[in-house]
Parts: sequence; structure tokens; C-alpha cells
Amino acid sequence: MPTIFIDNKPYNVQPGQNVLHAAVSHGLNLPYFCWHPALGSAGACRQCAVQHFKDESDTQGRMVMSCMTAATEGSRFSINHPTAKSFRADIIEWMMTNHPHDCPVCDEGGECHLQDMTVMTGHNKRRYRFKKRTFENQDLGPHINHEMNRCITCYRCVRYYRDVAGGEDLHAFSASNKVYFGRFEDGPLDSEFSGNLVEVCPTGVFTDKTFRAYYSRKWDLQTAPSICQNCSLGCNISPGERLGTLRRVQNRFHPEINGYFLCDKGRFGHRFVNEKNQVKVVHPIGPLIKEGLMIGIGSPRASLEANYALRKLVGADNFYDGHTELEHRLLSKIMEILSQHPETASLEDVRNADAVFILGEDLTQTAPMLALSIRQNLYKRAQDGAGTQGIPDWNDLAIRNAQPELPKVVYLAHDIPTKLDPLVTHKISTDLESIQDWIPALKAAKNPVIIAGTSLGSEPLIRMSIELRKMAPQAKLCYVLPAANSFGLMLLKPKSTPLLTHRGETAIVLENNLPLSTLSHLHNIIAIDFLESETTKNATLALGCGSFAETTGSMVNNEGRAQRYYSVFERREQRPESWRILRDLGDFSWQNIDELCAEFAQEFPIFEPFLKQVHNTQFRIDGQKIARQSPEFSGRTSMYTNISLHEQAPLQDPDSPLAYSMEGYHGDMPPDLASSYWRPGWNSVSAFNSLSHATSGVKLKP
Amino acid sequence: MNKPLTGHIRTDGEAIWIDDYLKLGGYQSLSVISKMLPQDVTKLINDSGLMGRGGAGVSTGFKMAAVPMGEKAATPKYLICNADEMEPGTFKDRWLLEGNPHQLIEGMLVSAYAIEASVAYIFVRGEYKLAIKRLEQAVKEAYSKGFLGQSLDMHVHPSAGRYICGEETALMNALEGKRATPRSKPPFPPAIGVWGKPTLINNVETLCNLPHILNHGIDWYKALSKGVNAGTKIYGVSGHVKKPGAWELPMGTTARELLEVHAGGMKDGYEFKALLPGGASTDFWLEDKLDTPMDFASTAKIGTRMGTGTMIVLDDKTCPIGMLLSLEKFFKQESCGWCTPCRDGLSWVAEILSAFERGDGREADIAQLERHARLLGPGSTFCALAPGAASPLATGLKYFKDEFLRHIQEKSCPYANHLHR
Amino acid sequence: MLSAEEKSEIDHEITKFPVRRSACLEALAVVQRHRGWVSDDTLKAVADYVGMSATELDGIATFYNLIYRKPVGKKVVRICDSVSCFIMGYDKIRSKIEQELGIQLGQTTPDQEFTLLPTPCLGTCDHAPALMINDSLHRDLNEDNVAQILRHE
Ligand SMILES: Cc1cc2nc3c(=O)[nH]c(=O)nc-3n(C[C@H](O)[C@H](O)[C@H](O)COP(=O)(O)O)c2cc1C
Ligand code: SF4
Ligand code: FES
Repeated sequence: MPTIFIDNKPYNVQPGQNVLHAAVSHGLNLPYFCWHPALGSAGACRQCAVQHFKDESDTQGRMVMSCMTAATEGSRFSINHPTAKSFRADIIEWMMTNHPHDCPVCDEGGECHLQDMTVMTGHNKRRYRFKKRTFENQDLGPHINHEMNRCITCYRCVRYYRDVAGGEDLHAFSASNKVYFGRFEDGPLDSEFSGNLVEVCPTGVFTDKTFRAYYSRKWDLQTAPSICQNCSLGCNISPGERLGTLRRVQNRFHPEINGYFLCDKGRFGHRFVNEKNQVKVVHPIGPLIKEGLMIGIGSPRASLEANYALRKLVGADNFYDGHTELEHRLLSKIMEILSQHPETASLEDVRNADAVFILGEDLTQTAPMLALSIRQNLYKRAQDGAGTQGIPDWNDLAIRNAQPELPKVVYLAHDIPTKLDPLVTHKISTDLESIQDWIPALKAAKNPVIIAGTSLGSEPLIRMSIELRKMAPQAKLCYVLPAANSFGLMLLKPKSTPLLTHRGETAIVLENNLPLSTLSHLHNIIAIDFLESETTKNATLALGCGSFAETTGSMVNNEGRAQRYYSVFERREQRPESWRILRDLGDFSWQNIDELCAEFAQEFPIFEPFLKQVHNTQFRIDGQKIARQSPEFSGRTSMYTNISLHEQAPLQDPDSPLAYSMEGYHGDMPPDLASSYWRPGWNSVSAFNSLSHATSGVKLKP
Repeated sequence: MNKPLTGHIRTDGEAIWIDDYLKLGGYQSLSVISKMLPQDVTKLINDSGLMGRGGAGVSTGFKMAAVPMGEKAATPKYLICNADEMEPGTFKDRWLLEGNPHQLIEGMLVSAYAIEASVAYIFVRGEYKLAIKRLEQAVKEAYSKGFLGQSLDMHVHPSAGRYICGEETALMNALEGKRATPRSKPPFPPAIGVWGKPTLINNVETLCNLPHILNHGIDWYKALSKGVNAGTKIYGVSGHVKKPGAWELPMGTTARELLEVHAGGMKDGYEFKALLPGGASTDFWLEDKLDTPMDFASTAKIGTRMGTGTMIVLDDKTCPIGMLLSLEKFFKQESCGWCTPCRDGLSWVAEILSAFERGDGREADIAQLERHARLLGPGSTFCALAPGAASPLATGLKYFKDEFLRHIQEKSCPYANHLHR
Repeated sequence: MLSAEEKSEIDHEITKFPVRRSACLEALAVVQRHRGWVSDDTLKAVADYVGMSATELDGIATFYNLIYRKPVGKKVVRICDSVSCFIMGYDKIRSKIEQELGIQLGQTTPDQEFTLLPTPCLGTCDHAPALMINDSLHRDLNEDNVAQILRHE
């Protein structure tokens, strides 16, 4: 680890870092705009200027852009040097010459990187006395709002959208101080990853339109760490709630999974939480009187805890898979493979692989962040190539000029056009006739990843994945599974859903909408779910449970990584966890998730390492629970006066070390408990740079 | 032979076409280099002391030597002629392009041989219609005579128009069909250039020197100069002088000689006030600098730059602030919009100067301009456009302070010709 | 959308580059030569032809001065407003032209004959002031000859 000196203090830095990255990683207040940890350096904004000294005796120094300067052993810099400091104030002043004074009505206000940087440099007086230039905005579709007058021209949006996400319908237009970022014409952004613009843009140009429809300031949102429910990758998210509605979802950094980004499904696909057609909550529920055979049908979208409770209630012999039969067969095969070759690839492994072989998955559809990871992978290969030409990893501009063509390391078997096709070296059909052509590349690769999955329902494809793995033992496997907790459900060893023939059976269906063919065989259904469905409508008894946003539970993603998500919701009428409903039906005694999990771990020792690592309800920092609300949270004493004039006590949360309150711990915390980034002076997502980026979750082996 | 570059250029406006060019000894340098190793050509150019004529004055041989050679070097290598001449007040390359296109092609053949480039582009200003036509014709002739097409392919590429395209790394982006924002340096073009390949970029006038150096040797070449740097230089004068024009003269000719002898002095009724020695992005010089030899080293010695060597003369009847406004408006408009100081700073500068011309100048504005002149200088911006804009601004503020105050006091521009729209 | 002639001219330009899309600006210049300016539809067709999105091509096109994304008159008068021409009387020439044509800088005459635009230095400063009408350069302008020139072009 090299040591550099900033204002005469030594700092250890990551090898190969630039000075800006090193400084903000150490929590130093050095403002910047165009740099972003995932985009690298562009040197455009000139905001990150520091003074660079030749040696100890050099007091004059030379001003450099810290983002474009390598943090090499022994090098010396100053953030506080008057030359650099006043230059940074000048830069902000220039940026603000055209920026509207609309913070009070801007969605970004309170979590705006530009606001923070303006305060940081001390710019507070307008000297520019001329008219501001103005732009017209575009309608970019239902997700992203466009407010070009707020633009400070840092180029981050296009560098993200085009260079990282591969989108072709956002670009910089014109030149001079009229540079405009937008589309050729009005219309929804094409990219499946457009939502990240909201977090990448350091001002209020690109904001979340769905959030805008029912807006709240960042500090008034209740947040908790959560896991995306929309596919099997288990991306980490941070949902924000206020007054009983889910307002938005933001990215939560996980180094081995989603990193800095989410797909649009993940960011915008959670609105169902606010849907009106929720199944009614039944209170109280007495123990079930068991008559005749009772079966339970589990769910790959319900938590481990709920599936376990159901299994416990109906007995292992009567616990059936909530997947289809075909899915069950494929998943069993995958589990069998993984039990022998347990090394699965994380998204980070995919980003780092030197060759990627995809068998029959249209990743942009079935696991979007995996598709983005492949794009990022190709860039990393370009970084490697540029590295051999002496270009550091962070010098994004130079890398893209030095490596104009992305390296070709992606092999795909699919029969339809996919969005990844332009990046694919070699595409074959899923009959795999010409798979031989892949073998040399596979064998030559040092750390290849083989991707397959269940989306085409093809067992030969899955078998081929293991054939390939046998030829290349260095390869890691990555399977795309049907739903968020498919892996977890399979670990509970459910039976394949049978073609039910006995009309007299009672079936408890957990958070699952069964196909009509199955439903028609069932006479007596007890359905537990959040939203109404064909199944709840056909049920004898429908019991409403809480969505992921108002419950706490655990899921296992496609790589076998068990992770916990926490409730963010404080409803006046709380909706129960499915496992509590099942507890009551079974007359079990678990008072909280810890008690259930203690039993669960005994029966399924495989989960023991996870349940040991996950922060249980007793976990405290400095003797405190962790606050879900910011210290600035407004209206606590009055927000429910339309219901009752009396101030309501905060809801108690028996299942987590988190509190529905602004009181509690707010500082640094373990990564799986951190839901919003904040440091003094850093109110935007940029605060993530100075946080520890430790990984979380525990990988399980079937 | 004291005007090797322009001595043969016809005065009737017609170009020298291939037959005449051959008769005048054209393409002879090719037989000289055919007996040399590429590296020896580079060394010869280096030893000749030829400095780039595009404005920055970097040793041409030094740049050539930076191109990777040998089998390990990436291919194809590219040679680009920078014929984007768009610097206000500069009109020297046009003369060479229109008058003697084969001389440039021959120079490019020499350079391409030295760096083993196989493809060459002449990146020429889109407005230079006649030059484009003649270059295309000359390239065709050179192909038909077999000078081109053997080891070197050459294309004429008219620019779609932007001053920043003259900046060599922005030029490469323009050539690649991208937005012409400059690239990060390092890596420098000789190592990683257009389409990621080694690329050498030289100005028209620079390249036109090469055949003559090869033909006549470096002693001859050095003797052409009367200044510190070698060779001749095309100088020019515009403004209210008796005989505005461009001339090829020994490097190191003084500004005074240019102004008083070659340009014939000021036009009757006009008095000299100041000049920009080499295009819009150079410092104002007052009378006291007129005896400076116009070469890279001598001007650097007194802390200024010769730039392109085509000077613009400011007279006593022209508003200096109007002139500054014209300059800064140009730079503002032509800023590529990549970096903040240039993009937002220059438009502030232009707004203020325009306010002065309207009669709305304020004292605090002068301080703002001074601040900008300092901030836009070298080291603050991504490329050299903004520092270029800062040069006349900083010196203009220094020399014309009273003019600014007069504009404030009189609440209008005291000159007849002003620019305020 | 592109005519056969345009396509073959663009194809020729493409041969000059190692990468097809690098010819995009040349392609725009080709269609502009044929059509006078580049309409949205034209731009889309060119984008398609060279293999990039309309957004990307427009982002490039709008960067440059010589690609017209709005209709222009038959004769585009581009008057140099840079420093030497300014010193030599640009403002008078410009007023005179505006008077003659009855339009301001940036406008087109109602009969679609003339569009008047400013241009940076035309590189003919020793013969300032100067202007271009389409492809031809006119220099040493004064208030007397400029009207003549406009009429005869
Ligand atoms: C904004 C800007 C515009 C430039 N325009 C030109 C130009 O039009 N022609 C030119 O030869 N060099 C121009 N240059 C200089 C080039 O970047 C480069 O230094 C030159 O072409 C190198 O050629 P030389 O070594 O032969 O001088 C410009 C530089 C800057 C920063
Ligand atoms: S100084 Fe900056 S904005 Fe100006 S032209 Fe250079 S890179 Fe572009
Ligand atoms: S962050 Fe360094 S120049 Fe923008």
C-alpha cells in the first residue's frame, strides 16, 4: 500500500488509485463532479484541483486535478493550499452562473451533490450579473424527469448511460456553454438501466419521476437495508417509505453483487407495494384444526422463514415446491451440480472474468444486472489492455481512446436476438451444435464464468454447463433462477408440485399464484398473500400478509448467498409476516424471528453460518438500536394527527436491531445494516465513497 | 532560394500542378530518403532544428522520434496534416495549400517514410473550398504518378467546422467522427492516437519544410534563419496597415521589420497602438516589443509567444475593448464545452466585455475580468484553448485599463466601430 | 430515404476510414450538399446508414458549425466576425447586408434566397473584411461593393 501525504499527513492508499479517490476514501472533504468511482476520471469539471509538491521542500507546488493524478508512493499534495482552494471556489462559482436558484422546489434538494460541493467550497454570493442561459426539457418517459437548466455539464450522465450501460439514446448535443444532454426527440429512455441516471447525476437534471409523483425529502424517508425481489440476483436496495407508502428505491452498494447500480426493474418495479388490491388481514388467527391430508405449497418469492414455517406446519412430507414441475426439475439438477461444484460466480466474478459463456439466457430480460456486469466486464478488459500501454485504470478517457474496440470475450447460445448480441464474440443456437468452437477459448481462459439458467426450461443447456465446467475446472458457474428466493426454497427440499388428484386435500398456498391447472384440482385452499390473485380469489380462506417492504426475512440469491432484508414500513395497521400467520395456524411459540431461526438452524444446519452472521434482534451499537429515520426526520409528533391528536408511540420492531425512529444509532455500521449513506457535509449518494465497502451475506452450498 | 516554401508559388492565383512541380524539382526528396533509413530521416529533421509551425513550437524531430518504431509498434500508423487554420488573424496555411499542394504532399511523404505511416489525412478547414479542391486534385495527380498508393494512402478530409478541431487531440476525435472534445494527454498521439494507433500530427507549414531540408541539408536550412530557431517563417500582417499580407522571411525577423517594411507601416490616418504577434491567442505587444525577433526562443525569453507569426495590428481608431470582445466571443463560441473554466468562464468574460461596449461596464467588472484572465491561464483547463483566450485578455487589461475606465465614465463606447451585438 | 447517388457518395467516403461510423460527418456533408440542410428525417436515414443511433449522430452533428440542422436559404451568406475583419469594418458591412437583405444575423429571407450567418475567421485577414456566399469567398469588402456582390452571386 503506497503512502501519500495530503497537507503533510500520511495516508495509506490503494495501489493504482488516483489522488481524488484516495482522498475521499479517507473521508477528506475534496469536492469533485465528473469523477465517479464507477466511471473513472474525465478531468472535465476541474473541481478537484489540489496543489502537488515535488518534495518536502517544495512549498509552491503546482496545481493539478487530483482525479487525473496518480497517488504514487511518497507523493505530496495539499487540499488546503490557498491556490487550489480558491480555484475550487471559482469553479463552483462558474457552475452556478447558470444554475437556477430552485433548490426549494428541486427533487434533488437535500441529497444534492452540487449543494454539498457548493457549501464545501464556501461559495455563497452571486457575482454573475447577467442572464442565465435556459434550455427546454424533454419528456423522457415515465421513469426519469428532465430539468436541463440545472445542468452543470459534468458529462457523468452520458459517460454512464452510453459508456457503462451501452445506451444509445442519450448524448451530449451542441458545444460551448450550450451543451445539452438529452435524446434526439422526446420519448422514454431505451436502456434497462436508465434509472441509475438519477443517482449518477450530481444535480437535479435527472430525477426519479415515480418518486416525484409522491415526493418526500430524503431526510423524511424511513429506510432500511433490503433486497430486490424482482429477479434471482439479490441486488441490494434501499427502499424509502413515508406515511405508509413506498416512495422510491435506491441502490445500496454491494461490492460482489450490484455495485453502484440497479436495473430499472429493481428501481421502479416495487410500486406494487402501494397497490390497493391487498388481501385483507385477518386478526386474530386461531390454530388450524387439521382434518385429513394437508399440504403446503411454498414460494420462491417468500422468505426462508415463511417457507420454513409452512414446512413445519404441514410436515416435510407434505411440503411442496412453489415452482412449476419443470422448474423443479431444472432447479434440482442445478442443486445437484452445485453440491458437487459449489463455486458459484458472483456478479463481481462476472465483471472480472476473462471469458463469459452464456447458455440460453437473455440476460437483459432474465437477470438484467448480470447483463450490465458483462458490459462492465468488457470495460475491465479494456482497462487491462490499456494498463499494458501504461494507462492507469482510472483514466477513463485515455482507456476508451487506447482501446477503441471492446475486447471480445462473450460467447452466447440463444435463438433470438438479444441486447447483448453486439458484444458477443460468437453466437450459436441452443441446439449447441457448434459448441465445439467455444472449447479452445474456454480452456485458455484463466477465470471464465459459465452462465446458464431456467428461463428456457431446457435441461440440455444446464447439462452443458456442467460439461463445460468439467473441461475447464477453473471456471465458475452462474445460474439464473426463476425468482428471488428460488435457491433458498430448494434448500428446504420441497417435493415437486404433484398433479393433485385427491379433491379432498387442503392446501396452504404461500405467497404464490398457482396455475389454473393446479388450482382446479384443489378443493380447499388457504392462501396467504399480499396482493389479490386468482389463487386468493379461489381460496376458502385468504389471509393477507405484508410485502417485503414491511416484513423482515431472509432470501438466498442465485449464487447461494443468503441475505436478510428488513422492513422499512411503518403502517398504522401493520400487515403480518407470513411466518407469523403460519405460526398462529400451527400454534407454534416463536415470538420473533430469532426464535424461529434458532429452530430453523437446528433442522437445517446448512443455514447455521448465515444465521450466526446475520445481526439478530439483540444486536446493538453503543447500546442502541439502529435508527431507520434520519435525525432531521420531520413531523414525528404530528404526522398522524389526522388519525389521532395524541402523538403515537413508534412502532416496536421485534424482528430486527432497527428502530422505527429517528432515535438510535446513526454512525458507521456493518454493511448489511447500512441503508442510507451520509457523512457530515455529504448528503448525496456520493457519501458512499468514504464508507467501508465490505461484502455481506453468506454463501451456502446445497 | 531564400523562400523555399513560397518562392515558386504563382502570383496569378493558380496552383502549381504536377508537371510544373516536377519541373521545379518536386518530389526529389523522395530519392534522397530512399537511400536513408527511416530513423536517419527523423534524426536529420531533429538536427535541422525545425520547430512546429502550428503555434506551440515543439521540435518536429522530437515528435517524430516519439512514434514507436520496429515490429512491435502497432499498425497502421497515421500521419495527419493539421490544415484546420481557424485561429483568427491567421492566414498562412491557406497560401501554401492553395498555391503549392504538392509541396505538402511531398512533405507528408517524407514524414510518413520516417515514421513508417501507411495512411495520411489532410484535415483541412471546411471553409477552404479552393484549397480542398486543389488538394484533392493534387492527391489524384500524386496517385497517378505513383507517389501515393505504394506505401502511403492519403485522404483529404474537410472539417465540419470548429476551432477546437485544430487542437490535435480534438482533431483526432473529429476525424473519428465524434464530438471534437480534446483527449487526455498523456497518452500522447505518437503513442496512442487516432483509432488507438500511433499518430503524428503536424501543421501544414511544418510539413512543407521537410522536402527542402532533405534536399539541401541542415546547414543550408539553419542558414535561412536570422533568429535562434532554424529556417524561414511565413509571417503575416493584418489590420490598418498599408500593405497587409503574408511573406516568407528568415525566422527571427523582427516585428518592427514586418510592420514597417513588409506591411509598409500604418495606413494614413491610423496610428499604431498594439499588436497581437501571432493570431488571436497571443499576448498584446506594445511598441516596446517591436524589436523582438519573431522566433519561438526569443519570444519565450521575454515571457511571451510568437504563436502562428501572423500578426494583427490594433490602431488608434479601433476600440480595444471591441477587439477584445471580438476575440473573446470567438473563444467563447468555439469552446468545446468540456471543461468548466473555459465553458462558463469565457461566456462570463464575453458578457462583461459586451456590457462595456453597451455602456454598461462597471468597475467591479474589471476585477472580474482580471480574475478570469488569471484563472483561464495554463494549468486550469483541459486544453490550451482557454489559455489562448486568456493571453490577449490579460495583456489587454494591463495595457488598456484607461480604455475600460473611459467606457465606464462615458457610459458608452467612445469609438466609432464597436461590437456589441 | 437516401438517394442512390447519396449512398454511393457516402460509400466512397466510408472507404477512407477504417471504421464505418467514422464517416458520419462526411455522410452528413454529402446529404447537405444535396439537400441544403439536414432535416430530422435525413439525419435518421444517415444514422441508419452509417450504423449509429439518431441521438448519437445528432449529438455529433450539433457540435459542428457547418452542419445545418435548420433549413437555410439557397445562398448562405457567412460573414466573418473575427478580429481582423472587426478591425477592418465588419460592423458596417454587416449593417449594410442586413439592410440589403432585410434580415438579421441568423435569419433567412422570406423568399428563401438568403440566410445570413456569422462565421469565425475565414483565413483571409489581409483582405478583410470578408464573407463567403456558399462556396465562394469575397474579400476586401466595403459598403459599396457588398451590395453588388450580393446581387451577383
Ligand atoms: C485550440 C487550438 C487550436 C489549434 N488550431 C491549430 C490549427 O488550426 N492548425 C495547427 O496547425 N495547429 C493548431 N493547433 C496546435 C495543434 O494542437 C498542434 O500543436 C499542431 O498541429 C502541431 O503541429 P506542429 O508540431 O507542426 O506545430 C491548435 C491548438 C489549440 C489548442
Ligand atoms: S479549455 Fe476545456 S472547454 Fe475549452 S476547448 Fe479546451 S477542453 Fe474544451
Ligand atoms: S473530478 Fe477531477 S476534473 Fe472533475
